[in-house]
Amino acid sequence: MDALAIEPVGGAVVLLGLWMVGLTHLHSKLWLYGLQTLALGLLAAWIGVQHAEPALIAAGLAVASVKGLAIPIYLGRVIRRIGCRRDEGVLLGPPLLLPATMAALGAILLLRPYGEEVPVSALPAVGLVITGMVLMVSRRLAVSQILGFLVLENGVFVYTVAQPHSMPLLVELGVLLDVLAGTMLAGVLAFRIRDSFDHIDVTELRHLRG
Amino acid sequence: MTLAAGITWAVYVAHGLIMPLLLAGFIRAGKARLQNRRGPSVRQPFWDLAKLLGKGETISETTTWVFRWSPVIGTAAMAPIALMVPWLGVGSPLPGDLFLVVYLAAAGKFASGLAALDPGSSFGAIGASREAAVSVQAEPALVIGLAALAAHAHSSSFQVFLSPRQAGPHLAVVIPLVIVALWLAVTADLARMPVDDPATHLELTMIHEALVLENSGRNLALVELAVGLKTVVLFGLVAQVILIPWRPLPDSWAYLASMGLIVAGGAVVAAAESVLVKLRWRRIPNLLSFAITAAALACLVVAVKG
Repeated sequence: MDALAIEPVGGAVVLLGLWMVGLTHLHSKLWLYGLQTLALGLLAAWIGVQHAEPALIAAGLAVASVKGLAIPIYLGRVIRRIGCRRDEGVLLGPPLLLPATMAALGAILLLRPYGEEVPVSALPAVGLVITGMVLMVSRRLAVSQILGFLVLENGVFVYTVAQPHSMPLLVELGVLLDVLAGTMLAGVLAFRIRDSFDHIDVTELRHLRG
Repeated sequence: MTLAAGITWAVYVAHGLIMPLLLAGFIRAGKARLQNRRGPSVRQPFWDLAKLLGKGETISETTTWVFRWSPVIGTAAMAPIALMVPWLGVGSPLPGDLFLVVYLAAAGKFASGLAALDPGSSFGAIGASREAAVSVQAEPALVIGLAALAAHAHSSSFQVFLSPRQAGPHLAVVIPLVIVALWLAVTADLARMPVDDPATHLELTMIHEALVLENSGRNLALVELAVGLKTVVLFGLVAQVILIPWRPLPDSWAYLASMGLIVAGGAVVAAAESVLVKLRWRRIPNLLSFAITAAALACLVVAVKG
């Protein structure tokens, strides 16, 4: 595995994820996600070029174009049409959440509670999965929870890329299709929530309406 | 004292007296130019200082010696800092320790906060409380960020950790993080944009200006000198962190590069103050949490990679 490319790009990608945790502005978060995914897709393609694996190149380019460009543009339209700009978060505000997430990542990096079966090159994957989960549970608006899920999915993608024999192309493309369909559905669902409740704040979704 | 040590002393003292005022003038002129005004000359702060030194003081009757002496304490705390931090790129005249420097600066800040509370005016108290709130958030970023470099070099002495003998490859990750953390902390600590707008004189929003509202004459001159000195020293410190990957440098190059970077810092501040709007007060923790996180991350990388 060429750790030479994975380490800096993986670190940068986890940094982008952390940055997203600290942001409240939805559009900037979206563009950071696009940048993150673009970097990951190009990393996968680059590793594919290095190892002469056309499947990995194809998967990387597909991820970069679909998840790095198409999904941010689509979600950007959703945000604009719903008309929400900021997400202040629930329980912990971003100023406290950011150092807390960072401390969790640091503890995992230093203590490695899962033992030695996860290789060092897959550590960015663990970091991204955790940031994705933090983004999902800490946010108030449905759209930013979709974003959290997408970051989590990016973590899984990094993990497959970091493996010596990456996933078969078919599986990778299937996952990509699922994510695309899931995001589209979630986007449409966000519209429906907005239409029936006049907002997409999930903390307000406790009461049933007839 | 050897000749070389004497020259270092002379260089640092001369720059410590001239650079703060020149940089303040440069920032003011740059801002004016960016806003399509002609603006005062770069030398204007010198005349301002001379004017302030010649003026009499108006001091509230309710003040005590605290108000009188706080600018002196602030300047006296800044002077050794300017001699301990190698902000000109060449070795500083006094050996400096990172914790001593950071907390000497905090002591100066404490004195100015006390002085703002002393006259009992409400604006001074607002300014003091705000300045304290901002520096409480900026201080961890400053200390932890520098501590990451110190941990990497196994020494908290500026002379050692700003020119580490062997630079590990992970320094390429640590240094950008530390630069981000330091720059955000430094601009907040100096009450510059986007945390505070030094040009504002609206009492409800200003931070640093409210703090020194009651000072006049020689007192104000000392305050401005100390703030200017702090500005150049902290900018110079950031410049030294930027220069670490290029060490060891010949002295002349290091000096020129540091000067260039200090002036560039002034240009960035001038541009930021012309372009950005001030952050809402409640959003400042948001910004500074990024600085603290970046600094802590740098520490983490050093801890993991040794």
